[in-house]
Amino acid sequence: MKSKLLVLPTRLLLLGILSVGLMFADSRTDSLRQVRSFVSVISLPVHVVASSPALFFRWVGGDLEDWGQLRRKYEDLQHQHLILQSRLQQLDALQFENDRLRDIISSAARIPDEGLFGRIVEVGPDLYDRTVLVNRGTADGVYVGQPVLGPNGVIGQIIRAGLFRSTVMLITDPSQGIPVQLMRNGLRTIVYGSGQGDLLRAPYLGRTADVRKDDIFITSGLAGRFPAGYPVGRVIKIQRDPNAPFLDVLAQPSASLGSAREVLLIWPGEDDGQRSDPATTSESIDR
Amino acid sequence: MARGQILQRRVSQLIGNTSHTKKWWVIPGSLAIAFCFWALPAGPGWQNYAPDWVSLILIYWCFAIPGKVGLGSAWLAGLLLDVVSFGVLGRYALSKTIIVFLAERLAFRVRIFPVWQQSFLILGLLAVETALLTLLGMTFGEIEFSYGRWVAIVGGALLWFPVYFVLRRVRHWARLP
Repeated sequence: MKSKLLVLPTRLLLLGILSVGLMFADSRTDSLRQVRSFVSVISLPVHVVASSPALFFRWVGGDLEDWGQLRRKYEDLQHQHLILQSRLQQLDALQFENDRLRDIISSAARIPDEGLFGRIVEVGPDLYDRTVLVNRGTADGVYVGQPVLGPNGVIGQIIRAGLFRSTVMLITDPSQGIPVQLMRNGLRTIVYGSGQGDLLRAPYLGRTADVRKDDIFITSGLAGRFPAGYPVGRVIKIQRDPNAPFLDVLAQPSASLGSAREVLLIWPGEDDGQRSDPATTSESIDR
Repeated sequence: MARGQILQRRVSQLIGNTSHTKKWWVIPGSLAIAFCFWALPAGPGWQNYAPDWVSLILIYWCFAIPGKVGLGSAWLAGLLLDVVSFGVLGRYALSKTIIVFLAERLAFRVRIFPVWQQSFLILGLLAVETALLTLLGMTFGEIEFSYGRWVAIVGGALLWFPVYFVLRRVRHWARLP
């Protein structure tokens, strides 16, 4: 017994060092990315079992939706479809015109982004508030850093890709910044998660910047990670402190992050970065 | 009479209940169930209040059969939890190893305690783990401090009662010491 008690601490120490080494390798380097993408397959049965009760109840709930409700929903969707369809017709014309104008200023034409639908997997406690799990993985071509969209705007980006599941970091995470511009006047800045209350914060807008309430931030495509033109958030509060060099701008995410069930994973068209590069654009205009 | 005994043996063979072999597989089996409980979805905003089932089960087996759950298997269970939770690898591995280490140290003293006193000890153990996880989470990124985790340890301590009684039945059924 005594010897066993003596043996324990050295083993504890060894395992502790091993764990810390693993944590370091996993969070600071990319060396484990391949391994964990394959190993994560083990978690699939656990996720399937754990999410089955919720799926079952939703299925039952969906089945018990009454006729009138379904009818109303159907009509709503049909109206929405009609409206979107009519706007799409306009979009085609605009796209054509846009391409032609781009041709004139000899800027590269925009390649449409490709998308893949994914469902949000509901699992337990450790997916902290600002990450969600999606049922797509490297088997579907998902990569780390891939942008993820919701019905109304940007949701976040992939931070870890497993073979069949991957983790999305939401835009409300304070460690994530997205290059954006204001839809109204094209003013460029960067938006971060605010860290509390699921809001966004734009900390680098100067005191004299032209921002108003209800302005919309869209992705500018500058860093080459998020394709340009998708809505990110709507300005809800601007605090002007005469002593501070920057405005304190708070925005609400356009996508409903809390209630989204389905997401769109995007493979950006190839020349987004070049397209939005301000230097080349202005140069070609001058010419 | 003889016929009845043979029949009874047949039945018990089929059920696999009265055979005198020890069913050690209930330990990994109960852990597998704990994993599924752990991964149960709890709705947005409530995730942090979910109790840590895996720790409870590990601690139970440490108290009930001291020396059976080794540090190595605790580490492996923690690593599996890291994989299932899609978190930083090694975080739960470390915390579960330490929890099992502490539980093994306490096991011989704790076995004679009544259950409600044990639940206070569980509170302490879970608090140690939560503190450790929070610290690691802050060091290696991803998570921030959350009060929910601390509420969850109270829930975990209360869950000790059902866990204890259910697992004791299981242990007797499996003829483990």
